[in-house]
Amino acid sequence: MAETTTAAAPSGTTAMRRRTRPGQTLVPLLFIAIAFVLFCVFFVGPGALGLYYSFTDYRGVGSPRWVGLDNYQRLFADEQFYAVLGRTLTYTVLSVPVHVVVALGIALLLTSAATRFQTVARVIFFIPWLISPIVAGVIWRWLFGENFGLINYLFTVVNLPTQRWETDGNLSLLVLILAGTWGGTAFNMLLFIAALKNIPKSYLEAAEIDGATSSQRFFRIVLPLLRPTMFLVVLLGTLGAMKEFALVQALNGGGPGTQNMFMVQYIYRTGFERAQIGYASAVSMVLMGILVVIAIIQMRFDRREDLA
Amino acid sequence: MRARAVSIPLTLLLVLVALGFLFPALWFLLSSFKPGSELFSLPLSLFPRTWTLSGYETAWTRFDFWRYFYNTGLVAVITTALTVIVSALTGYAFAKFRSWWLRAFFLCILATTMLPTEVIMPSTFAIIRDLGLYNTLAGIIVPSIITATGIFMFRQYFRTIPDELLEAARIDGASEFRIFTRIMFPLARPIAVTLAIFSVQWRWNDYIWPLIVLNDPNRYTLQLALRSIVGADNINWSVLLSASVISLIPMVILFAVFQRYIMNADINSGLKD
Amino acid sequence: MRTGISRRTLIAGGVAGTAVLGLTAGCGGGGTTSGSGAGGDGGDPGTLQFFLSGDANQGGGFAHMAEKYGEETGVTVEIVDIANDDLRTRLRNAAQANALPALARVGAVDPVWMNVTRDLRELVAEHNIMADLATTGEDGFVYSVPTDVTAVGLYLNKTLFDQAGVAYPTEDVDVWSWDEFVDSVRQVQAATGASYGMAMDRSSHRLKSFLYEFGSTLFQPNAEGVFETNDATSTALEYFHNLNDDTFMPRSVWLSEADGNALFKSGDVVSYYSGSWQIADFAENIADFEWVSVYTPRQPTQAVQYGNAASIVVFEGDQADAAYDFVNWLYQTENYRELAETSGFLPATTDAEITYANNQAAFDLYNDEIANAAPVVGEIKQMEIGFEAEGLSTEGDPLRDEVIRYLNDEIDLGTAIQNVSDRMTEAFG
Repeated sequence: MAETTTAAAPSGTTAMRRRTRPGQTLVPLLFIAIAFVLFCVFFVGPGALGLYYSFTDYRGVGSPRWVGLDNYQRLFADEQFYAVLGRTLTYTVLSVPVHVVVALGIALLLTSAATRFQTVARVIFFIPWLISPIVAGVIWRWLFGENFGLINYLFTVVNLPTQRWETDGNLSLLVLILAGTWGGTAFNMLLFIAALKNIPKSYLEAAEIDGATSSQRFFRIVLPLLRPTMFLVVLLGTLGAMKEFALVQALNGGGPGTQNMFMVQYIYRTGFERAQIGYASAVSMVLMGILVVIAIIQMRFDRREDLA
Repeated sequence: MRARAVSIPLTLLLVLVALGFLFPALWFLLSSFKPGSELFSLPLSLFPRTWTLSGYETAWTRFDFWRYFYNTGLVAVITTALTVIVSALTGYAFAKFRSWWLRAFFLCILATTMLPTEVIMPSTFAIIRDLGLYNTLAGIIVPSIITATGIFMFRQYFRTIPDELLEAARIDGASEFRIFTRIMFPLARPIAVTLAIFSVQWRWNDYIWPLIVLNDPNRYTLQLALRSIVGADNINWSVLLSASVISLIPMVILFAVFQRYIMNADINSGLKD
Repeated sequence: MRTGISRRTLIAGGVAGTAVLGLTAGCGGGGTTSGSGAGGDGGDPGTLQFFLSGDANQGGGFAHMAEKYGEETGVTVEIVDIANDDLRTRLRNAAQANALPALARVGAVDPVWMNVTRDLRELVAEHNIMADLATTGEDGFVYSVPTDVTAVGLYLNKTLFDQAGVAYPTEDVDVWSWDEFVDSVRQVQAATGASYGMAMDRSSHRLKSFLYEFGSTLFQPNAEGVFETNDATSTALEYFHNLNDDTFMPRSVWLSEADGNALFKSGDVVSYYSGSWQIADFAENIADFEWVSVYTPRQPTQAVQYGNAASIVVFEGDQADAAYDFVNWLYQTENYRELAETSGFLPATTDAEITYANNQAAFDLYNDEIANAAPVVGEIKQMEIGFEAEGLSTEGDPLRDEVIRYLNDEIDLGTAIQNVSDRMTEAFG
């Protein structure tokens, strides 16, 4: 029954094209059964409790008192919240494209028939992803510490003015993007490599015979075929960037001051550190709402491309 | 035509980028051989002025690495196997069946990554406890099985496999489950390997679930032990760096061995023309 | 055929599901909750679990004492070293799962488990433990006793001072004011070319000490329960803002969490305003220059911030008696001395006479500074411990957070002070 409504829903021709069969409800249900049970047990329950807390003044102990929308009102009245949200969005908008381009570029180099040393390079690109944020934080401070870092030392050697990598808000955001790219590339790179390996060679060979240049082959054949993976990488990257926490914490603590404080850090700082679980839950729910909206928007693009 | 000529500029570019990525990691590795007195002394140098293994010695005697490797490895292997199976099943359903509730559930799966851990930690803990999973390795494994990333990866991959293949198998009278196990899952091998590598890495570096679930130090996993190096007022950097290097070695070996399974995934030949 | 499909799929799904449960249950099998449940009655209490943080980093004193206790009494005390950030979560969860360890060394008493701790008031009296650092309820119930004391203090790069030929006070006579100290350091900088004059940890613990030295009374509740401070606080914070000028103090430490300890170790920073816990680290990890502990400046108040680094709690349960006996043994003069000497602790008992293997002078100086700290330090400490015993959260750090924003010119001084007052009033008023 559910199946008929779906087919009728304006979800696009793909759904219409598919034959509706009775097994089509039960079968997918069985396929997702385990995930569904685990989802309910380990996410719905705790998430619902979090939602409830967001309407209370819960402080971690004792019994929560219902305060209605107080936490949300306080949140939307807090100027710092908007600053933090803006900064988080800025970081996301800047970092996701960099992550994607770098990872895709490296994946192309690593799968190209025209390059050498690929195995060694793959291991090299993989290593940064293994290093824990706290260690990554100290490595990048050795590099970009404004007082005694290597980069500033090199700048003085070549007579350039030293830069305030830590106490200038924008420069420290830049360092954060660099460090994040360094640490996160392996993940996206592996996804792209798996997808690139899946592109039938015959397509590219045929195009080459037809005289397509390499950039034509990339934009006309490779990129369209990479779309599903691209969508995956961009959406996961966006969600990840919006929740960036461990690396910022290790690198500059959201500094200078609170200029580069992101959402999750704001939740910790204003909520958990002050034992205001109610308020922290409210901010978390707002964050989740924003992320859901982002995900839905991106999924719309995904569907449109699907039809094309 | 197949044995394409090596392109010098492209190889050079790859080498340069790789060196850029290597440099911070190399600094990290070389610093682990510096004595504590040299780590922060000026001028900073890439190579240790005096080479020492003292950080490694302290780390090795202080932590029962074999036990942690065993515990962490056990958790990583079991969780990874289950994660790959469950993600493949779920991702397949998302990719090859259409209905509003599947789309809604997909969004729900994505939503699992959207709440900060601390928000759901207290109540998750209550659930673990009530299921009798407190202080068991199973308590770390079960909640980690579903991952949005893994399900998402399989969903996207299965979508690239043409529906005609599915229809043909159905017409041949193959059962849905058989289609999945015999045709679809084998096709997704590169994704399975990629996810397996991801999953092992996640479990290897995870500390949240072990922190919530484990009480007995004999069941400790690697990260839980490593975190204790970071004290309230100080960090013993030379021990932390050495211990980190040791903890990375199994992962690097594992990747070096398994990466070719992603690279050699030349499986699409039979798919289309 | 259609039904055939679904049934087979159903069975397969079932098998997979069972496999999941079976596998995971199998590997969790035999999981007994260790800890307080393990002991029998009377004779053998079983293994006593002792949760703490950072023992291995601090010389392993507790591990050493646990071993000694085992040799003397046959009772096994198992030290479980937990990351400092995780200790609170671990204890909270253990409390909710009824699996608390026998005892723990904690930073603060947690309302979640404070009603299942044993009263330690007799220990305080018997072993001359500093009563004002023990978390004591209004009825005299002692929740926790301090294991050791930490105090804020000043380190100088002696090599740089000597090189510049600038003098510094070595005894408690004519100790410098902040103005004099800053002048001296600037002279050293000028003579040696050192990049920075002073690093100070990004912590309100250090900042409080700085404020006290300017005569600040910090934030205290008035008759209406509203937290207020005196003018000296403003003066001191303005002074602090001026010190953070990227020549005397590197701004990166307070604004971006650069590591003050690492900066001092680089040898290019003249002084370091930190605390007693650094002595062991410096002894091991500074080789390129000589360092020295000196009296902190007075403007005009002598008032280092000090406090219990951590405190021991004993949890009720089968093993509580055995755990209590261990703590009682630990605080006996001989044993406590051994603990303090191994770990490099400043003593939390009033009658301890401790000989440290190294840097005796530095430890003596700290003990002297603590003994002569202005009364306000103790009063504020009392107030904070009182909140703790009432189960009010003293976590978070309004003073640090707001001062950082003030230093970054995100807010002005008046706003910063007002925000700290508001937040404290909200939390404790």
